[in-house]
Amino acid sequence: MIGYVLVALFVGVLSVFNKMVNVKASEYLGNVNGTVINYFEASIISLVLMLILGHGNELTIGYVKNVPFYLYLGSIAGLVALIFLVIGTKKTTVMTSTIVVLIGQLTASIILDYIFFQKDFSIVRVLGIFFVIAGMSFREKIIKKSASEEKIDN
Amino acid sequence: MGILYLYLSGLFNSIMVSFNGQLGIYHTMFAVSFFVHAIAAVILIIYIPLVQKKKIKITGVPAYVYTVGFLGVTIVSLASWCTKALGATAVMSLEVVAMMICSAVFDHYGFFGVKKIPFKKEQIPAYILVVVGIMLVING
Repeated sequence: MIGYVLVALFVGVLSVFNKMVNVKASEYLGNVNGTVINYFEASIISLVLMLILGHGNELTIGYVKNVPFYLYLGSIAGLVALIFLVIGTKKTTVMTSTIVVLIGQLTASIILDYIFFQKDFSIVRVLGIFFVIAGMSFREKIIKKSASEEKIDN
Repeated sequence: MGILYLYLSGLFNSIMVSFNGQLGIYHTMFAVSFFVHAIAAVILIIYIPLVQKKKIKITGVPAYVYTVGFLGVTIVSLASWCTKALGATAVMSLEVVAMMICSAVFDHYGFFGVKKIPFKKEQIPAYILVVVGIMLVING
């Protein structure tokens, strides 16, 4: 069990590294072009792993035809998400970008659960989002206060 | 403006996760990863020369940038592996805690050339508020 916990924590760390490496790529190649390396490389790695594991049949037209077409469109949402993440992170701090993206994810998860899975609209979850926003605003206030105090000291 | 982009990024990310989750009913994990990345790669290969009127460029970046695709696939597969054992809620909670700590470290030291934001103990109540809020949403 502890092994899974450590790996899940490691995934969180990797996610922040992944975001910053994407930001770096965009600084050198541009916001849109910077994402090409990510998608091109990940396509090849996934394809190789899929073939090694013997799931190559999933690429055949006969197989794909049986999958609802719209499910493949999540890819476009992912692409837009990555480009917006790169643009937004360059304009803020790493922590702010982490928290604001989470707020977006959490808001969407509440709405999607309500629309697609008929889950009740939970007041506790909405309250949670307000807690996150309050915490983030509080942090920004402390940072601004510290910065202005440092300016006065200098 | 940056905040709006980040918020929309989170919204679109959740939409992607929801679609990919349903795609996972029909495809195995690496097949989902392949389709998700390959479709976006094809869109970019068409969009950049035709709409942006630019050449596609993948050279001239620091060597570590080329780990980005590997990182993406690793994150997806490890998260999926943990979710089977711990459940989605626990994995997301652990990821969030690690992301918060890692982000604070990056801001504190200015890693990847970001502006340094020194960590101060006065910020701890703000982080506690954020973590409590996230846990309320995940578990609520």
